[in-house]
Amino acid sequence: MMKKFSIVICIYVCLAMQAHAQLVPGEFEHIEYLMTFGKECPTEWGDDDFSQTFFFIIPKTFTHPVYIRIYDPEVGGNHDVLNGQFNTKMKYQLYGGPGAYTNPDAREIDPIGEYKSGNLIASKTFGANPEYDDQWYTFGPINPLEGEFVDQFDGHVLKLITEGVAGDDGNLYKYFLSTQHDINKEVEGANAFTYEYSFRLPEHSKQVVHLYPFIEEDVVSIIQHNFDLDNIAHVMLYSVAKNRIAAGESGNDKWIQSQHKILDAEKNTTLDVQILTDGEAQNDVVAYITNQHDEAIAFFSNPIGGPPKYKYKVDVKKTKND
Amino acid sequence: MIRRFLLLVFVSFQVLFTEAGIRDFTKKVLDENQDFFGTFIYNVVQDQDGFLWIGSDDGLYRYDGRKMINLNERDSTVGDLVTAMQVSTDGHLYLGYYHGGISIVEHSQYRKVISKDDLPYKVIDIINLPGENNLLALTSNGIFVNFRNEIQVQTPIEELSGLIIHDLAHIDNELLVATSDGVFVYNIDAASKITPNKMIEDLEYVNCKSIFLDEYTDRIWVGTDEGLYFTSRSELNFKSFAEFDRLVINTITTDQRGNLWLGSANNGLFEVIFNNDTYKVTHFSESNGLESNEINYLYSDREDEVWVGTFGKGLIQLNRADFHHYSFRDYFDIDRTRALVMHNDMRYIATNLGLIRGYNKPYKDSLNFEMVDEFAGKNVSALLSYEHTLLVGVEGEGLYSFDEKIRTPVGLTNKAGETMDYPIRTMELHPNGNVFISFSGMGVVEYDQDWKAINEWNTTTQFYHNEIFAVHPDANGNIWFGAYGAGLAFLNRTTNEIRYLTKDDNFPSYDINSIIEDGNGDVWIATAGQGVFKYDGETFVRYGKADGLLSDFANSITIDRSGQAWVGHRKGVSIIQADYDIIRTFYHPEDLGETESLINAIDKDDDGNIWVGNPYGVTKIVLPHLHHEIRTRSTHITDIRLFYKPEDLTAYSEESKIDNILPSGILFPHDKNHITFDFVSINLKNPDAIYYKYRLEGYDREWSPISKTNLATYTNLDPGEYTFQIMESDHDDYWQPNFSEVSFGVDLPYWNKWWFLIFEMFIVGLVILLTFKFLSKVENKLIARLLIYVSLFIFFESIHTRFEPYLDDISGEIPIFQVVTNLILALLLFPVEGFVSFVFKKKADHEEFDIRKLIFPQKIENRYSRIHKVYSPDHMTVYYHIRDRKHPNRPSFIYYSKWNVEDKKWSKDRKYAHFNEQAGNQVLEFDKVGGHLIMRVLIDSEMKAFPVKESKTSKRTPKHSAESVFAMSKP
Repeated sequence: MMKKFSIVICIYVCLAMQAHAQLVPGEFEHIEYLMTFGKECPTEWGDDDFSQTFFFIIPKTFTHPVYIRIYDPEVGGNHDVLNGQFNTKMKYQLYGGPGAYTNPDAREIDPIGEYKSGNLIASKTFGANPEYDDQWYTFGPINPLEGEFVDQFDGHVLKLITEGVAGDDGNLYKYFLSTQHDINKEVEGANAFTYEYSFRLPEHSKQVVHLYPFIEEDVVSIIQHNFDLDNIAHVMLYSVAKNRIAAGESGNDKWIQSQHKILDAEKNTTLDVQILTDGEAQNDVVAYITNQHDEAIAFFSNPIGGPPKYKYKVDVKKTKND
Repeated sequence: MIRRFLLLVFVSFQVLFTEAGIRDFTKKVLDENQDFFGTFIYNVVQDQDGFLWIGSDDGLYRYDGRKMINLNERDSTVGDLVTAMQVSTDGHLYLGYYHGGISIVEHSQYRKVISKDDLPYKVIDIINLPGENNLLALTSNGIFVNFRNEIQVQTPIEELSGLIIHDLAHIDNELLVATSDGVFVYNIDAASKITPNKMIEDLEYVNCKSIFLDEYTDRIWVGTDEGLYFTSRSELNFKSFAEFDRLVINTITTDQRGNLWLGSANNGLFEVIFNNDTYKVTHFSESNGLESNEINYLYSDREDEVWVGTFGKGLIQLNRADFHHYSFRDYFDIDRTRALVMHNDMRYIATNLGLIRGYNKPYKDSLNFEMVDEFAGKNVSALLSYEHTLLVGVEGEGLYSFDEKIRTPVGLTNKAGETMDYPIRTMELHPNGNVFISFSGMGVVEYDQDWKAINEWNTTTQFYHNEIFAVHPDANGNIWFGAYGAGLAFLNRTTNEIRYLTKDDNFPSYDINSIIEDGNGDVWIATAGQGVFKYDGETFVRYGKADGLLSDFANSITIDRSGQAWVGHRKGVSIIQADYDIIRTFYHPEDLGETESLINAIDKDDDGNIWVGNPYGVTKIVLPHLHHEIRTRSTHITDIRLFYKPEDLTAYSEESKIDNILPSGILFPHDKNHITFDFVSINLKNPDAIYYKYRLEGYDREWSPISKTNLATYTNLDPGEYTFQIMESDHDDYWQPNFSEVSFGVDLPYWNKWWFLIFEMFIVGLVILLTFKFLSKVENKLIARLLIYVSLFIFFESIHTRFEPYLDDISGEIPIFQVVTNLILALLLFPVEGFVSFVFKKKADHEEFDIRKLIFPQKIENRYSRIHKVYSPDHMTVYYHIRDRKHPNRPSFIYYSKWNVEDKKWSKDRKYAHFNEQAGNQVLEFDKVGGHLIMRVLIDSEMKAFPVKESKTSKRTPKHSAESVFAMSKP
């Protein structure tokens, strides 16, 4: 069963090799920035745990150096959320090696236990560093082999943890998995995913954000969780078998969850969790999805198999006149 | 005139920048063409035998300059990354892995020292501590692992966990750990006990990626992701090296000359050459030909090669180039360089169209050339660095004193006060400060430091010639003159006596181009047509084309720092290594750029480089005293293959622990006697420049012909003890009697082992014995003879087969000699064969008798009587003595019987004589004396003989009819 799943994943990963940039958030997601706040900030600002973990998959066939680039990694200047004075320290830690992904704590929603499993490859802490405001900082070169090889993905996995280790300001940033240290050039066949997504919603009304969880074979139901939507956004589920299924929407500093059945047609496909903004505001939110075993489901930056398209059913009835 | 003016304008604005390209280096990228498939290089180390070990993403490799061996197949942790390597004091290689664990490599085979389960963390570094086999490893989570003679002690350091540990260094009694949060210092005592000391405040929270003790300057260098820091070894007070601000320095090393090498994460490679308080930097990057800007590891080997381990582009070997040609062809329209000189750290080149100056930009090592405006378009013929000024001889104008920007004419006159504006051929400085100037057509004038002519030598002063091409004041102050057409002259300044050596037939050449003196006071003379001469104060030694010189026409000559003479020719350059009595030549344009060396256009710089003037540029001979020294290397016998296939040699050795490349006490079975020896003398820079000679003691009588092939094969080796010996040389004419060797044996086949020989002798003996015995039962004579023949054949063939190999040694391979030798053996065996044949024949006859005897007595022996003695004098007649069983003292009888040849039967037994009482019954033996049969009987303890006579009558006539009866007669 697992083997079959792996094969399916591999096929889909291969399909995803369409040279889409490894920009995180991905271009299909329509999310402008990732978000992490300093740990002294109240959660009502939108970050529940002041930590964000992303995994990067590098196909095993790719044997050149890779770079993980962070846009606007510092906390200060443009894009970032000022709370009083900029006093936040943002720490980026890159992990590889055994356990980086396979340690169960690494795949948890909350940063507890051995979530920093694996070998620490690189680390960098930023405060208000103007030289990196609106600029890219680059980790690397990194040997893909230093990531943890995961059969399921047929590639090596690197883990990047971003934490607001001090302060109370918000950091807006994005990643790029690149083959060059000074420009963004995608790694063919690579992808990125997270189990808990902390990001900023579009500031304008009627904008749609897409999250793309991949539904595995053994999933029969999911629970979608979202935090701090401030009741000014609507959550809808789309899939090959779901069309605009409304899901729960959280209020300020609140979690909400809603459960949804998974149909057979939806297994081994990608869901499209759409968040539709309904107001003009800067809103930072968190979202995750669990399955019936309370295990988190990964959101892929590049949706595996592409964004889902609902398959309309057309019933044709034969009448007596026919 | 117009053309000359345009040319002048053209060259005035030309500046040649030679920053492009890697200065003085050639590079070799190790890739799949060398069977190397690593792209991410983590470690490089050279072991005591000279092998280079490379830890890469493709596992571990061993490189000897010619062959790259991937050792993954022998590694139990194949697929893991080798992240740390160290050669222990006993020469073993220790490996640390990305996924944890430490291994040792012995004889290219891995053995775990610490398993991955016991140390499941990335091994950052392994270093040697004082003492034998005392090593210290550091893991990514801050655990020091000390293993001395494989006893391990782990010391976890709490403050290091959670940090990224990049590097470890042992400096005096302290350990310095470079981490993502700075450099931590720990004390380590003689028992290798580790205790925290302090954190370097200057580097607090700086991501320190490498740490290196520079023993040339006693500085400690720390590479960080914010640049380079350094401190003196004693102070630990770090300062930033501003040149490399904001660069991420991944790795640091120094080469054998003390130059600092820095590898950056994304900006390529830097070489920093220190010279007192200043330095020069050379930057190698993708923009000037380096394969990668991502440098992860740097290593300088013992041959001063720099190995650049990239992250993603494999391993690059930076070879120091032997030659570097600077071509002016596309920049300055010159066609002749006439003189070279270093002055104020600048390289000046006199050309037929001006003076060219070579210089470095501040802190840059790359050389730039420009035309000196003040002499642009002028035919500059001679240069001399004279105190603080440069003397420049310009044809048609005279001599100038030049001080970078200002040129001042030096008004030269002769002793008579006449202006000397003749073309200057050459200028030389005397040890006393005077200047000797050779004027074209006007001989030589000596000027004092006020430019007053104090001596002159020309035909008006009865000097031998006016065209002096070479003037050389030697260390004793004497002057050597070289002329074209008149040869060599020598001025003794003490006696002021001039000896015309050529004219007086003391020197054979008439045409002298250049004269130089080496550090031993020997004078070297380059001639046109006679090669080069060395004068040691007593004799002239000639080096000519027949001795290996490229040409007998030598345009220029100089001596490098190690006393080697470099000779410039039209076709290239030669190097005379007089200490080794060898000459080498270089004439490929790919090496030299331009092959032609012009007359007297040669010079050295402060670093020992030699500069040779070409028609369109200059060629730098890079550090010839280092690059061309003859080195004595060890040759390693790396493998012994059987039938061209690699074998696990430990299977043929009883050694349990292997400390050398090959196990000792190798003994091959007799049928594995097709043996190939792989050997290599490690010259990582130029592996193809090694010559070999070898021999197999026990097989070869002489050394093999000189070869560059590094394998030797022997087939069909006989059982025995052998020693393979191999020697190497940098030059095919220079051999030293040092060689490497490996002894081994080819075992005897089992049929030649002692136990088998005994067994064989036993079998042969048994065959003979059985034949002997069996003959008694065989009635058929043909079969009996056949048995005898077979026995003889086995016996003699076994002897012949045993001796045959030795016979070949005696006779060689010439058939007629082999025939003769075999004949000699046959003749030697002939009497033996005859004797054995005789014995067999006799025995056969005897056996024939025995066969008869066995039949015959059966009819005689019964419950009453038995045969006591049997005698057959001729095998055809048998006498036998019968005694009564129950009454042995009763008179007994002697019978006789005869063999019927035709019937092959015995005649019926005949009782023909009583044994009289006097004789008793104690017949001891029969015998024939004088043709008469006698019997010897013991009577009263005395042996007495009684004749046995045939008698016609008998007391008891046998039942059978008697042909004859013998009677016993009294003695």
